[in-house]
Amino acid sequence: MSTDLLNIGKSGLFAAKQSMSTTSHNIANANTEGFTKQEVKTENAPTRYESSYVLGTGVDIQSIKRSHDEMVEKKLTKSLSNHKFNEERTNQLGHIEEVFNEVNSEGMNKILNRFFNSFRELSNQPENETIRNVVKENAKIVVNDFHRIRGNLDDIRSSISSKVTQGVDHINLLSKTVAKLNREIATEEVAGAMANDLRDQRDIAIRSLTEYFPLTTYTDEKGQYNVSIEGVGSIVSGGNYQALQAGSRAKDGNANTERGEAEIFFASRPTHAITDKIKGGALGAQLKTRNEELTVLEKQLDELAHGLVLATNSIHRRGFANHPVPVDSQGNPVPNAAPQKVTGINFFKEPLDLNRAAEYITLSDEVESDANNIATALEANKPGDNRVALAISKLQHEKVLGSGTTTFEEQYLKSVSNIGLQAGKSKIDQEQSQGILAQAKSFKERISGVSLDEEAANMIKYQNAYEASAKMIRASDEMFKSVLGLLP
Amino acid sequence: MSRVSENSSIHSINYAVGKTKGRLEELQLKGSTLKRMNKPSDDPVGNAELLAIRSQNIDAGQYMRNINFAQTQLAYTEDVLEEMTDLLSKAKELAIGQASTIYAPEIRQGVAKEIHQIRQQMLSLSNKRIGNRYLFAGQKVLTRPFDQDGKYLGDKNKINIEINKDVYIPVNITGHELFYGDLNKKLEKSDLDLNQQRPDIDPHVEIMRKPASTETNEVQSSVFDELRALENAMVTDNPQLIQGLLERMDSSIERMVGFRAQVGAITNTITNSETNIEKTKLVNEAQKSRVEDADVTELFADLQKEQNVLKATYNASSKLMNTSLMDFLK
Repeated sequence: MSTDLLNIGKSGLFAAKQSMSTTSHNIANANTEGFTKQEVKTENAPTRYESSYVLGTGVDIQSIKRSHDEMVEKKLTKSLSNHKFNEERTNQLGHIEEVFNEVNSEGMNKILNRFFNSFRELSNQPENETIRNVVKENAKIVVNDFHRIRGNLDDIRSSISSKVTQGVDHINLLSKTVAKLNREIATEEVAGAMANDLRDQRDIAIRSLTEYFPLTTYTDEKGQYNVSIEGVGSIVSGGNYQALQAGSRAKDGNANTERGEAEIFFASRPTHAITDKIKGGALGAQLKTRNEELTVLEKQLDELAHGLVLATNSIHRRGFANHPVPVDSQGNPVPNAAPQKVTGINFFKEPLDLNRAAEYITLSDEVESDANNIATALEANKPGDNRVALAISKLQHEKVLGSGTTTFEEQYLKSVSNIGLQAGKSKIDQEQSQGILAQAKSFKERISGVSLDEEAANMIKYQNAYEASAKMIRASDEMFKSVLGLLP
Repeated sequence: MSRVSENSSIHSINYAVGKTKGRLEELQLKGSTLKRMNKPSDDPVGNAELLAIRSQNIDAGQYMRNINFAQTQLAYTEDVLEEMTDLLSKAKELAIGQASTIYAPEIRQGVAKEIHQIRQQMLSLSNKRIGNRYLFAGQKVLTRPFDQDGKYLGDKNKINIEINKDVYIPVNITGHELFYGDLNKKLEKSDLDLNQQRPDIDPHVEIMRKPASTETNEVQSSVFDELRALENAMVTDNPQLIQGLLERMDSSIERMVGFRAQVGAITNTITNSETNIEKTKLVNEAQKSRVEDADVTELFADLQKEQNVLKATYNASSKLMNTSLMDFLK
């Protein structure tokens, strides 16, 4: 009888001590990122049958369980990848938008406008060298601004590409960690116990991973934990993982790639790029921004530069520069007899190609070397003839781009509005997804987080239980002693 | 009962504070610039509108400069035209006086000198410049339009200037249209062939008339030719020729008056454009302000509101964060 009492007391003592240590573990990890509150699950120990009654034998520790909800966790990872997508997109579009921001400063629109107006000024006094130099300087500013914008877009593009490459390295590290944890969890749980802390670590790794792209996770019938990228395929399957690789590949008709920049593919299948299939998360945002907005903007900017050069040159070539042209006996000018080229001069260097026209735009050597080579006159030897200068200034309001549908300014403003719209939209999306994420996080924390108040109450509960169990042992000891005392 | 863990309350505090602070920061930026728009995404459509308005304003500034240039040019031209008309009228008066036979040849010699003077003055007026630009040289602005013989060296081109979007006005009168009569009213060749009528050539009155236009064989007479013919008529004492020249001079004076009227009309057009541009500028400024300027009252009311929200968040958070069951278990 007394041994029973002792055993029951002992089991209570153990259970209380174990609960206490779990409480202490919870308190210690209250601020640990990704820690899931643990609870000791107890059950009453198997009963013992006496002749006519059933006797309790104390308490058994059934398991130590994580306070974890699969659905809540999935909702969290989903909103996390969604938010990371919007956050990264807002970030990148913000960078791009800043390139085109001239609300409080100078920008391409103003600079282009001044370029045309300087030709208008020159049309007043085409013979005036000072104004000619002003035109030249304004043209240089236009050229520099094209270079600035193109250069900034290139910088953003290459920074995105290097982010993608770094991201892929991190992803591989995380996949490897998940696979390793899968193996460790399997080993630890062979006996049926729960590897709580390893599972927490795996959840953390999954959450880091889903910042890059949307994931689906499931446990298959063999108990293997699988991770796959939505719309792409499996990256972790039990203890194995598939490494991704980012790098330039030979272009295979992919119009979005420029200068062989980072494409993503499975290291084992380098011929199948999965770049376009990644549709969410930070990685998805980077790729979308790079392959859509940046590519479109670069193209529009190139079209603008290309159109400006071609239109200006085609008029400029018809005109005569500010140099005397020899005349024949009839008094007709003979441009070929002039010591230098006097007509047919390009204002900008003629571009070879539409592609990267904004990068290669520059003044022609003639105009660069002498502002008197700016052609203003339609006829030779007429320094006051301003018809060519007028025609060039008129290009400002001519619909020359988009096969005669838009002016330079309209085209440029369309690009700026578009990037502004996208940036504004992604900012709103980001605010929204941040709200949803905060909700999902707090939902998750309500279930899995540590409440110090709760732990404090538990502490007292378990302390009391421990004390009571200890007293129980003493009581049974005294009872035993009193029986012994009967002996002589 | 919903469970609240440490992290869930911290998360919600962080979220609430972050959101309010974010809004406050944005309002503060607006407050410091007094602009409701600081980047394109704040109002993409408004941004495009704003940039377009700015372009129009820069254009307007340039049109105003062009207008100033045109006004200077035309005012100067008008002054010169006035002087020329006066000179010609004076020459005509002299001619009228000498058209009858009552004066002695010696007096006519004296008048001839006066006419010569008038012609010289006329020449110098016709070669007037603004800066280094000759007024009456057509587009050959750097070439002196009339040589000593009154031969026109400029061209017949008008210089047009844009004074408002797609509004072009001529700012020059070419020496050709001003000094040469129109083809229908040209002088008889014999009238001008002064060598035939003059027994000896006065060294003062070197006559080397050549047709102005070499392309056609038509002879056009310039004001200078008329003055020279008049001078010759005085020298050669030829009242008939003087009489004949009177009509020519009348038409020259008429022509100059006509150009003065034309210059006046162009100046009026410019003034109209100027008014239009000023009006457009005003409308643009109003629109620009609507697009880019923040509503100050609303802005500061919002700012105040957000500050209050932030304070309230802080208060609520401090109450939540500073209480713990531990406090009551001592």
